[in-house]
Amino acid sequence: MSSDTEVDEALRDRLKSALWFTIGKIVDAECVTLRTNASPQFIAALTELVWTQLENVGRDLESFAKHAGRTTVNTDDVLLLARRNDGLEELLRGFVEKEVAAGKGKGKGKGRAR
Amino acid sequence: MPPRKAAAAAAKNPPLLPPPASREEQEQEQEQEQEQEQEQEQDESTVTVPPQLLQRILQEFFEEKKKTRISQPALNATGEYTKTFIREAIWRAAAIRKESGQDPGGVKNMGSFLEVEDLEKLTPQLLLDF
Repeated sequence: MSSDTEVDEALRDRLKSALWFTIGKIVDAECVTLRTNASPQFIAALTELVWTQLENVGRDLESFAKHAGRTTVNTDDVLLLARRNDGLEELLRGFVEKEVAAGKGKGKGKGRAR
Repeated sequence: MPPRKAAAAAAKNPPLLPPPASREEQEQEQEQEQEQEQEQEQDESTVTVPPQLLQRILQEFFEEKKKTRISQPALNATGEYTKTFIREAIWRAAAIRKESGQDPGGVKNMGSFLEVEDLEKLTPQLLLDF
């Protein structure tokens, strides 16, 4: 049991590091646009913030799916996340519809290739 | 015939380096490279959290890790959500930093580095908005 939680901790640390790296890249890209710089502490704090937010998001999504009698989270659940922010909901709905349209056009395309 | 000989010699021993480009050409090349970089940067602004990473993080937070799954479109949408969250945090921080920079008596008026305190100021509203 204790070894299980240790593995858990190690996995979470690695996931957080990966998230940190990604956020660092996004911050760099945005800072170019905004003509500013970000301190490493800023990136670290933002990582913690996003991590905590994702913790809530994960539990919310699971609860939404469960409430609908599903075990698979689908896009409706994600749209529910933005239920209190009309602008965000609109943005996400637009994104989902665009993806659906692109998916129909390309058949089983793997989204935007990077 | 000397001219042919010279040509043959040149063919045998091609110059190792391409002839130095004139300064104008170099500048043009640099401009092109910069343009390409800018294009890449525009791509960068659409950097998202990699879906695989996001999936593993979310999976980690599901209470029934082995039962609950997430569909690919839902994952992409969550990626968009997360990206919007992150960008919003950065832009709000930059706005706060700009404001405090204009304050003439501001003690923290040093450079335009986004700092943790900017994040502290915007976090309550950000969390209410998301």
